[in-house]
Amino acid sequence: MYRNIYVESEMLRHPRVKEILARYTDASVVTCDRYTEIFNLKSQDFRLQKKQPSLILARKHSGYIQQAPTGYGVGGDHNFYFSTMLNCLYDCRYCFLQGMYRSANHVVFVNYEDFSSALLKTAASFEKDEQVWFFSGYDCDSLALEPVLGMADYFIDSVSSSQNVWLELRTKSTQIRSLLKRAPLPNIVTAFSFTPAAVSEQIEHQVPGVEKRLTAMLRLQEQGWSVGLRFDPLIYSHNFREQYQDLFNLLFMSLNPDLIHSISIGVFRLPKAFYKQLERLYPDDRFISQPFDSRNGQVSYPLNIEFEMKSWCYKQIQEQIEEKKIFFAEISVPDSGIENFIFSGTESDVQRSVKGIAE
Amino acid sequence: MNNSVNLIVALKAEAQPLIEFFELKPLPLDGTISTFGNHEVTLALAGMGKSAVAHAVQCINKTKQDCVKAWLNIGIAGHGVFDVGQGFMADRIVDQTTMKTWYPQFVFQPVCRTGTLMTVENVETDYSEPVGYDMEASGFFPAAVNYSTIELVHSYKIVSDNPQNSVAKVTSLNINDLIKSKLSEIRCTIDSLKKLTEEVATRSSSDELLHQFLQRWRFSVTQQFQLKSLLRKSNMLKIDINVESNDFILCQDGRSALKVVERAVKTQWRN
Repeated sequence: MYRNIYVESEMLRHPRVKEILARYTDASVVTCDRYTEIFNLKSQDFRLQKKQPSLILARKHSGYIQQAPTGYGVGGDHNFYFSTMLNCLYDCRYCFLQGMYRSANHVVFVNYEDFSSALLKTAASFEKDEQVWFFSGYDCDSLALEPVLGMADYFIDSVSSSQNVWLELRTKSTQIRSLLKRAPLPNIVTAFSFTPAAVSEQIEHQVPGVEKRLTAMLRLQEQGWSVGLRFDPLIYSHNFREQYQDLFNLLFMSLNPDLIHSISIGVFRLPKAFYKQLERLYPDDRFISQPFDSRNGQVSYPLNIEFEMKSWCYKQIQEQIEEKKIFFAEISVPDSGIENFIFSGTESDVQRSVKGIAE
Repeated sequence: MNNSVNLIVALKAEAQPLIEFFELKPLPLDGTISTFGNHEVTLALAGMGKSAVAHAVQCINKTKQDCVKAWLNIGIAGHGVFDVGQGFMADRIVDQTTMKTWYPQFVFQPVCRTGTLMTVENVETDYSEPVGYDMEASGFFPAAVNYSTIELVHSYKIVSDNPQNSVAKVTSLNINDLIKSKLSEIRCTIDSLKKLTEEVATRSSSDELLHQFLQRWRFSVTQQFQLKSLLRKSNMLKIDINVESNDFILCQDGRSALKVVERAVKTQWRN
């Protein structure tokens, strides 16, 4: 699958690098000093690179664990994220990675051990009865390359005996073998992102279909694993109610609600600079061409659409799942001109208000 | 907008088979370098060395400000291990003097092997490493990347000498034959690059409707960007914008016309 693999010369002898290279015997292997010599240079074209991304095997030297952005959480006491990989196998037109990086090449930091030490050290700085969440899948898909990278397998092992670590593996993939081969752990949540099938077919390129993802979730649940549902981003269309109703019916009629750990909802939004970059890369794309609104440095749907979608989806989900399992993925701060929705800044205020609208 | 693949070649013996094969005609360009071209390819005969090829890139660029450009450096090279006659593309370019390194990015399937290309100041006769040796690539690559995206800049070399076949035996005639023997690989590489330039070019193509707006009203530079973006959106969303319609009758200036377009896009999109 990879035609070109770049390896930092200091990592050539790393066992994980050797294992990965053994899978791609036909690839051309090029050594470099640092991955930054290849990744995210000024004169690179994300869209062209997406046609045939290269793999870059590197070592991360610092900043293994990051504080999660505000509003990114599913009920834990403390939220962090980590990224052993930058960029994604899939090509979702709404994805912020297209705006964040100039390069579509896949960077994999193979020194999982350093990430794991930092993760456990971070968790140890909190009380044992607190839930310290670590989200994987922020800068990549957590499971899409699992057969090659074994990332989930490694981190599940490393956090399995910790008392306060909770791990979310966020994915659109069906690569769940590494989970199925072991006994379920209560502090691991595999969270699957969904948009309605018609939307997914149009803008989530190369992503496994909705039904395939659902099958993967069912297999995990059958074995006792907790799963999460992520309706983030919610994508608007004039018939979004029908589309999302179909999706919710399919998911909630099939899944065991007791083994759904959490559901999060968030409308499509991007930092303005990222959206501008997407406009430049995909001027011919129908999704990008929508007349979004810009507020507070973010580009998103007009506020009335945002709240209409969130409140309607919340109401539908609430009929199926306990309210305490539902979370909103972002805080909306309205334009001064829109008076119907005035929230002060806290997440709970927003959640209460939106729940109010739903009722 | 004309998109083009620009070939940068050091020696006349390297250029001649390409000029014949692509039926290139002399172009009036810059007194300091000879250039040849047709509707799809421009060739610059740069002369030997890093600064000569960098200069050639600049000259070609000057004449093609408003188009998407791909760049291909074609020539002969020594090699530590490859056989004479083997074509290869550089996946790593190292300047032997400064040890600066560049990594050409492949978003198409190369028709030949790829490998490291080391640019040297003087002809290499030791072949001390299993890499290619040339005298231009590290001048060519950074110069061309200034005017294009990295995926559209490549070096294609044909091995003319190696530890078993001394560089002293390389003649103009050999070079001519070596290039001729690889014309199909060169053609394929040019086709791949051409396809990519076309792809990039479609992202910034202007259209007739924009022209109509610009003729009727004056727009500031910022307004022109906004207008382009809105017209592109209206096109994608199949929203009909007609400059001659009643919607625009009262528009006195570019700003008010822009507002009408913006309103049309927003209103019709939600319906």
